[in-house]
Amino acid sequence: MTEEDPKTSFTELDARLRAARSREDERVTRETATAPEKPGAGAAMRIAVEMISALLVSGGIGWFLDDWLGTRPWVMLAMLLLGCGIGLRNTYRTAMRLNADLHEGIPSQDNVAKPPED
Amino acid sequence: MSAEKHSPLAQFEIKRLVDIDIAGIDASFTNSSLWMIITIVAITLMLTMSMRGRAMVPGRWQSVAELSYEFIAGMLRENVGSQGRKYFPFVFSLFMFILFSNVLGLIPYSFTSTSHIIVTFGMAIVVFLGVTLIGIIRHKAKFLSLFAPAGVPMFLMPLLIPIEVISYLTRPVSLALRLFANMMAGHTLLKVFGGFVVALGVFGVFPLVAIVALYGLELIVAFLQAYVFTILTCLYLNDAIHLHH
Repeated sequence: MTEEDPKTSFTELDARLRAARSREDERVTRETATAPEKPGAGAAMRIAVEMISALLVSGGIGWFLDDWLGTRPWVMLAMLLLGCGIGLRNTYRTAMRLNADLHEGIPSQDNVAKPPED
Repeated sequence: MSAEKHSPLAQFEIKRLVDIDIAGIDASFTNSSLWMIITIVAITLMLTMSMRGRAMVPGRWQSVAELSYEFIAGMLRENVGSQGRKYFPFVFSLFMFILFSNVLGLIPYSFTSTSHIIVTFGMAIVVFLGVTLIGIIRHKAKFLSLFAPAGVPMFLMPLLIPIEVISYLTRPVSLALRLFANMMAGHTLLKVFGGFVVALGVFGVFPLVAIVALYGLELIVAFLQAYVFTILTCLYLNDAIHLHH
């Protein structure tokens, strides 16, 4: 390879890289069908924060809207209620995804080939 | 034993080492900056020194470097697919930085830069803005379909779209909060138990045993939080690239 003209060796290298990558992609898609199990220990920590951050963000948006519209507590209160809903929904989603991840390794489950994000 | 001096929260205090003032903005070099630099130097040294031999059969250090590479490359491949390959340098740096600052923070008398929410939020907002920009550049207006769940009747859209937008905006907050809360809580707990050891005299062995166990737990948490931060970055990247979630 060292004696070749640099340009052809680059194009050759490019072609070989591309071939290797597509081969690798094939192998990966085959492998992810039998995905390895993922650590579930961080599950609880991941879930708890979803609720808090939804409340913080929607409460914050409400606070700024109140400042802007001059309707001190009302928009924030409404947004906090909405934030509760969003937080619950996000929590549920995360929990379901973690559940799916946990069962991914078991072949009898019907969600085997499912991507990690629902 | 003055209360302020041994407060469990004293460890999070920012101390100015070198005063720097740029146009009225306080840009002092603090203990937090010092430990971030130590983190980066440690990562660079660890990776370059261990890979210097480039042995076919890796030694101990080279194994560690190769394992961490493989770990992140595999995570990215599994969660984002082959299009995620070009974001590997960023994700790898992110993981190594968080992991090293978490673990270095466990050394007694050191400082954990990730126990400050501004540091974690800084990283989270970079991830959030970066991922959003990648999505917009790749998909242009179609990126907005991320906020419109498929198979939902039209009359529900005005309700669902704000919900989706807000839950999209919660991402950097939850990302930052999770890392910060875990690091701060763990370190505070260690210090509180450390206070018990001193206060209980001979019976201090019991909290001492608890500290040993907690310390092991904190090591797991340090790794786990770096892992969680990185895998969520991968998932968000996947959303932006493939537009499904």
